[in-house]
Amino acid sequence: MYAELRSPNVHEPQNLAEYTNTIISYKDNITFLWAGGTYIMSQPNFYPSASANVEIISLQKIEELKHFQRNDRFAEFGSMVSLSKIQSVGALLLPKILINTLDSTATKLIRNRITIGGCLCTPSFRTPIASTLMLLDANVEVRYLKKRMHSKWFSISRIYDKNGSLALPPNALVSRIRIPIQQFDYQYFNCVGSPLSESNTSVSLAAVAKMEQSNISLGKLIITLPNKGFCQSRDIDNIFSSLQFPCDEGHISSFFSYIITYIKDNLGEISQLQEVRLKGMLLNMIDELNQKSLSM
Amino acid sequence: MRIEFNVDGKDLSLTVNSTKPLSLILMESVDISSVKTHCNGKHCGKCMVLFNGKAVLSCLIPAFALKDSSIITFDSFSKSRDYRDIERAYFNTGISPCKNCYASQTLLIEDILRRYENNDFPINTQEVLQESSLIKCHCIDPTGFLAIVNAALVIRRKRNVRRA
Repeated sequence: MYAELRSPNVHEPQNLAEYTNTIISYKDNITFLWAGGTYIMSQPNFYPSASANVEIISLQKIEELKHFQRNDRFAEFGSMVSLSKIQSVGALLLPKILINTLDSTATKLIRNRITIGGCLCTPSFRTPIASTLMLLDANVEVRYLKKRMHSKWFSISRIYDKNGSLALPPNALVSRIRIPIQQFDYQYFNCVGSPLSESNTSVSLAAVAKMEQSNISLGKLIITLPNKGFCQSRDIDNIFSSLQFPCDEGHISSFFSYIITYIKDNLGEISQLQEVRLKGMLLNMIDELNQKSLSM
Repeated sequence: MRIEFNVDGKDLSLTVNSTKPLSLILMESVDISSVKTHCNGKHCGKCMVLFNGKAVLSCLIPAFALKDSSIITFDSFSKSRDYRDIERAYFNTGISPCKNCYASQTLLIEDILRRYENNDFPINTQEVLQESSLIKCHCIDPTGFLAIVNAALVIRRKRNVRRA
């Protein structure tokens, strides 16, 4: 079946220098970078594809992209490190919120194939991992072609535009991800629905806070709507930080209505199910914070 | 493109489209009877194979990634000694998958067993329950799946001790 289809050319560079040569040679062709392939292979029209006239650059054999290193301040992963590998090497090192985010991403079997770089660069939906990394102020090294190959470190939030779409230059490669090692008094992550298969209804919430008795001294919160983008704002963070715990119903409902208004103004309408799920998560988080403040 | 790989112990050399999913290759070019569906990457979970010893969904593996790899499908796995352990676990627990997902469930359980059989770590219940959701079939509930894994692990560890 489909035997007459033209087979896309696959290039498998062994190192970054070879990758650069390949990208320079094919800069005028349609190229796409292949990390784990989980997202690409899940596209309904992936095979047989009418647009088979493409050059695939597989990153699976580039050793530099599989490295991991750490020091006292940060952990650095190559973009081709799989999520399950990050989970196993970072279990005692990385912030708990990131481990929880990885745990909730697909199953272990799929996580063996998903790479962190691929997770950040899915073109059609946003993943909760990207938002958790944003919350942790992670940075990415991007290599891009501009007459010659450049590399530059960006904050993760800068690789997406304000609508949450990927804003990397064409043929850019995310080569390393640097995650600061910092501890928070409170970390919360919850994701409902699969961002890949139910992007219209899935929603996730990630929050971190440093607490002083029953007050939050530094609170950050980010909501991921896979089909819309990220909801992160200083105003929301300020309201979150100004909440007094235990928090009553009135404060919770005004906080929630502010978030919904913010999302509708900036990201557009969201589905009823996403709204209900988001409310449930916020209530759950506030409930945990209430309990924490009462036990202090 | 031309790829050389090993399926169920046989070395094969095939000329296929470089992005053709492994599930379609097994169904159309190799004639493996245990892989019956191709869901186009919708993660139905019914095209499980062991790829270099680890369970994967074959619809997510492109042809170009198969070079020099070793694939074990349920067709050959069902003739192995390891399969008997899982079959006994099905019998002991009284829970067995339906014929649609039997091959995939068995290979998934085998993958979990391989993670635990050579150590004394207790099973990570949450992880196993999460794994059980991978195969979209309602014939076994997650607790039943966990019971099978526990039973199979006991049998496998006993066998390993006897062998040692």
